[in-house]
Amino acid sequence: MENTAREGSVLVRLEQLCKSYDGEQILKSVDLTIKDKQFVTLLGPSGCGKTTILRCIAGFETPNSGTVFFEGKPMNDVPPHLRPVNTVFQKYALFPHLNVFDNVAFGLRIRKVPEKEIRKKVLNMLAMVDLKGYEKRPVSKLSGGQQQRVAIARALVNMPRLLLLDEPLGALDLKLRKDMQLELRNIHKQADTTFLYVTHDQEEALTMSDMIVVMKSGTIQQIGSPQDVYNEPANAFVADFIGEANIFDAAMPRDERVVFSGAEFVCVDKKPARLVDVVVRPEDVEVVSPFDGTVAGEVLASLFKGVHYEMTVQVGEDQWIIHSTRTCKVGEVVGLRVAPENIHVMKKMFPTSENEVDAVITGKTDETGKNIVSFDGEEFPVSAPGEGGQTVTLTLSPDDIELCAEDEGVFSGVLDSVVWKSNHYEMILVAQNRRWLIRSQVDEQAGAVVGIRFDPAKLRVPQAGGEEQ
Amino acid sequence: MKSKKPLIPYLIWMAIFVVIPLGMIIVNAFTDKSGAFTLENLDRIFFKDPTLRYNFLNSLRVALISTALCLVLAYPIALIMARQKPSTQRLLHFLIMLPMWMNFVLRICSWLLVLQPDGILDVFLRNVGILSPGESNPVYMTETAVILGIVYNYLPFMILPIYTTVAKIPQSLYEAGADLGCSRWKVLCKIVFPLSVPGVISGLTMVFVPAMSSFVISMKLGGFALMGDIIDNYYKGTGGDPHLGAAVSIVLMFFIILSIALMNRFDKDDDVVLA
Repeated sequence: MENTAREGSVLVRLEQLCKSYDGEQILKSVDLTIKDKQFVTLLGPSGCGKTTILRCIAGFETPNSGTVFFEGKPMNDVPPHLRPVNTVFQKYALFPHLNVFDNVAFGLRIRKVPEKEIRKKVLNMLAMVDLKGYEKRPVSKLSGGQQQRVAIARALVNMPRLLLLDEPLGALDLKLRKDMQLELRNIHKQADTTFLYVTHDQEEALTMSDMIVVMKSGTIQQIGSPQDVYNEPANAFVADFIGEANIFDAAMPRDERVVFSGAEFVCVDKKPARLVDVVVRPEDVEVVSPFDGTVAGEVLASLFKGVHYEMTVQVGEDQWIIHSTRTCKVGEVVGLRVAPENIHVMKKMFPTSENEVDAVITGKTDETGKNIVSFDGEEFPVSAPGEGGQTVTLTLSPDDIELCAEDEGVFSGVLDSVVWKSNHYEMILVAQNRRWLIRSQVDEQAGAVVGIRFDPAKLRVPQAGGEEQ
Repeated sequence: MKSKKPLIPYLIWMAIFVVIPLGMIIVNAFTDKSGAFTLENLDRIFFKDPTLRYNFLNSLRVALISTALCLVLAYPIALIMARQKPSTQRLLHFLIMLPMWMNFVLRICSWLLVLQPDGILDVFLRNVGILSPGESNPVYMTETAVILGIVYNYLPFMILPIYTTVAKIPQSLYEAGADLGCSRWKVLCKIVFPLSVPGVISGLTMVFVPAMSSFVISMKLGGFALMGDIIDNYYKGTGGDPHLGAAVSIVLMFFIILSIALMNRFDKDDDVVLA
């Protein structure tokens, strides 16, 4: 086959792709390489920029900066109709004035392919997507799944080097979606071309892809095979987004040891660190007798989920989620054990354990004699020594920040990530001037706009451990 | 079975104000002054009266030209309008409707002020040097002026139905066209135009029908009579001939129905649904 020479070669490369709408940055310098013949999935919550990447490749959006390369050639100035890609649109975008055959034949007719050849190709393609005999049907008379397959056929019949699929199964019901996932996978094999698939459904991504690109707020979090992103998530966000996970705040005192949930576990990671995140998948937790477990706790709940039981076990302050084929009685005390290779240690998403703020001492004092300091355009009384004009570094614990309505807070911003850490939510708020780390019991959605407030008395000057003169 | 009772008031209304008058016109068309049956009126229209025949064909021609001009002007306007942001669309919609709030005769008379010798147009053209002093524009009291008047008057009826259909075409269809290899022009020809056909048909009907039977415009701006004026004259005063007027009306109606039927043949895909 002439195609084998291309196997594994780079088809599309995105270089520092940036895009913003109305001042909001949708893509923040995205670099991505897509290899020929692969099934690549862009996965992320809505608003993460995955569809924008697709539209930049298709040519419907022009990046503000950065380049889309197709087989090494920059494509930024090439209009959509001259790009060697075809798209399956989210809501199919079939032409309502044409029947199934004419919809599928559309691209070939535009390219002036002889009508005899068109007939052959269209009929072959319709057979491939299981729509034989539907040629004369008006598209409005088709079910969602059938329209979907017409849309795929209409794009694929042009034999694009790259097929872009923008959440194509989003409008289908669960059963049909599962069938179509398998079908798409088969079509990918038969069509022998590259698929770039956009979805927010992690299960879909895991089922279908050769490579998954996990995205969050315009940046790529991790690129890897489905096994990689599931077993070796790059950070707590990826771990939380893909599959179910127990995520803990942890510390690594030395190589192959990690402390979380009140106990020391053996792991395979090296490089000790004061602060890490740990992820343990629910199916990797072994339920044993209380004396054999690394930790022990009381079973709070057990739900039958078809193939397994989902149990919640209270260990100290943490709640562990466990998937097991055996169930335990609610109230029973059980031991929990995790094999070292199933404990995955990740770098923290926030660089420090506390919020650190550089504030300027204004020289004013309040009635109790506290210095008034200012940062981010707000002033706070703080018991910090120093004279006017001096800068002090203040810390604020993530526990001391309270979430509130946008207009009631001292500062406000967008929640960039919200991760359940077994006994609290760990949130990162992107405010106008800085990022805040917040620990909260409040369940907020990532992407929500919220305000934060705190007691200024909680702003502390770190103990001078030799940093000051 | 759904009850047909709610229809009854409308049926009575239609009977009194549509069916009965239409019947009277038809009766009038086939009778003479004494009330006896005759085909004389039709005979005059089709064979005996060359002036009437000429006027009829002239009306048809003027109406066709005006309708075609309206389409050519309205289509791009509708397209551009549909691609604006919603607030701009509403503003444009308002501006297009605005002249309609003014009385029809008044609007035509204001064109008279513009076109007449030494009128606004002449003054303007003389000032910019296109006409020499004392010269007048060649449009006043011509067929061109009448067509101008008709196009001016009925353009909104062409723009709005086309705009309505074009505005319903989702952005994704434009993108799908481009994605499948269409240049902008081809997207227009292969996707946008076919989908706007229902709007075009209703625009054509809404312009052609009143243009064919328009009156006042031709007398005021062109100084000659079109079918509307002629029917008007037959019904007016003692010198009129309501029986001939009725016959002319019936023939005109027949041709209008025929042309609508022809147009609707192009619009047979009525099951096109834009999601």
